[in-house]
Amino acid sequence: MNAIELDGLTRDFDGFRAVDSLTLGVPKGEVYGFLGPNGAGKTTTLKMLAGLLSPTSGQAKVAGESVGSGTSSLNLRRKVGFLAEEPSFYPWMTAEESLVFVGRLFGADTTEARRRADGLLEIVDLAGRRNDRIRGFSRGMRQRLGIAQALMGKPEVLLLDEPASALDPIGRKEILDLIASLGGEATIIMSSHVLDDVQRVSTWVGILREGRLVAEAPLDDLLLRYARPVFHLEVAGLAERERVAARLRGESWLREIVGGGGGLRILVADPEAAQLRIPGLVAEAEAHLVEFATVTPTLEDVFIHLMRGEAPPADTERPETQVGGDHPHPDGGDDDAPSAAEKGAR
Amino acid sequence: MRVLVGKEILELRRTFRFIVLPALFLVFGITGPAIIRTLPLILKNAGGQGFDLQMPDFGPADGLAQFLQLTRQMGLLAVIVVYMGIVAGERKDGTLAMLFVKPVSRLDFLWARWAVNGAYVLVSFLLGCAVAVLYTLLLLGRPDYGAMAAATGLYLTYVLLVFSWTTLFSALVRSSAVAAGLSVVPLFLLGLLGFIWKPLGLYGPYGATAAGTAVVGAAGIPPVPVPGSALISAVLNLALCVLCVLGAYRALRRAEL
Repeated sequence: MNAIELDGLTRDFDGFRAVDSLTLGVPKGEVYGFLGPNGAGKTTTLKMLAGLLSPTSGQAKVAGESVGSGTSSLNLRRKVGFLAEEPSFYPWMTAEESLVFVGRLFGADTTEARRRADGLLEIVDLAGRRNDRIRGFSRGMRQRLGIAQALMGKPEVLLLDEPASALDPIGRKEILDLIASLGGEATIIMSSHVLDDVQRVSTWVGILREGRLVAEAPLDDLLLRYARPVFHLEVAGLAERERVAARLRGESWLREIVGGGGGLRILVADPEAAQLRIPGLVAEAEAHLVEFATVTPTLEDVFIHLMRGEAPPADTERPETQVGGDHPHPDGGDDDAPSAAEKGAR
Repeated sequence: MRVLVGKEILELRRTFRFIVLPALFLVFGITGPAIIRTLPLILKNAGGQGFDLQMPDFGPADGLAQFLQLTRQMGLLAVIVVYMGIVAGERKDGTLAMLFVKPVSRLDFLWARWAVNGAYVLVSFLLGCAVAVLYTLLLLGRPDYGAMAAATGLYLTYVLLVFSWTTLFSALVRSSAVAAGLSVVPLFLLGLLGFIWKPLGLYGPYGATAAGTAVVGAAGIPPVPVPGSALISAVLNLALCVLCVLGAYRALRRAEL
């Protein structure tokens, strides 16, 4: 069952289409990474789901509540927690007052709101600043407080717009761990252009480009789909590397060799043949093998592929990964048809 | 609603806004009668020999009238400046978006903001009135308390209306400065149009203040009882206040954040 469902969601701003026929579903309890470059439409989509913007056309349901026409629905907002990219607060409130205020807006009495605020302040590492005015908070502290206030209403759905963008590495890890731990309890959409963050916590990924969904799948499926038959080979010394490269160039299955760092990145047409033959070639070149491994694709590889409008590797075994959303694509395409990205079209 | 009202009261205290308007009206309450008390002396000293200016005998009514005039001119401008960002400011700094993703009715938000801050404006004005009466008593003699109470009541409706239309304009536009500019327009236009077209002057929003000044009496003109037109004007002002809040809600209901 999907906690979030979008059906042809579209939003125009003065003739500019920021979100274009977005159709997707987020299963309940998943952490959905919403990826895209700046201006791809991530924030606009999240704002529509939070009821802050109205769609130009299309429909959306969040936690069973329609956001298409009822942006003023109180029921929707009781079920949703939202963190803006740059969260705003009343600067004259203290951190604790701000959370208690939010808790009371969700119907909790003061005692319950204070108890919950105390717990969340501990979680986001602001307990020591609970009585300080927010006016003096850094951006990172505001972001932590923003996550706490988004959780105050015990939301079924959590919409997080770049939740870790202003945090230092330790804070980033803590918040990402927190988000990952919430998966299962709440359904989370987390937008980001920091691919590593999304890869660390997301179970599903959707990639937006120019307002359109160009890929959507469980993370592992997406990585597998875009996995390229690449090996990393490292031998001892530059001369040995040259000798090995020369022998590799004579192989029919070789597509490309890229030297970089201490090793070679070898792109091949026939991974099985290459895997069997490469160690032998190293021995023939009288080189000392230091490392030989299959390169694991990262979300970054997938993202760059999609942003360039490149097709996934055709000769890779592919799972049932959806490109263009898990519903029929607005263009009328299906899973096997070229995606918008593949067609290089918007 | 109670949570929102509590937040508004806390905001008034924390932002020190609660000092600004009472302090200003307090100053008007003191300077109004004081100006009248010292004016003949100032003019006499400034004129020198051969300067013979005929002036009416100033009395307690003039002290009160001077306070009301200061309120009508600078006091209302101060209300506009203090509240030009009552909605636009929150929209600009993002707190409105933060609030409206919570289960908060936009109408409740507006009513709470209008009620608490409107009450604060009125209390500030009443404080000024009380001080004006006190200083009039000390400097100019015993004022007509009944006339001053009637004038205060009539002025209250207009002061509240100015605050209400400032709220409306602040909800209609995104910029606090533009909201202030728009709010100043009716402030001047209503007086001017009322002067040109008498029915508007008598029964329109500005009629309450004109009648309030007349009720107090000043510059040798005897005080008059509260005219029926002033009561109509006062009721109209209160009705317009409600319309302003509903208009602000209409603007805010459709607002995208």
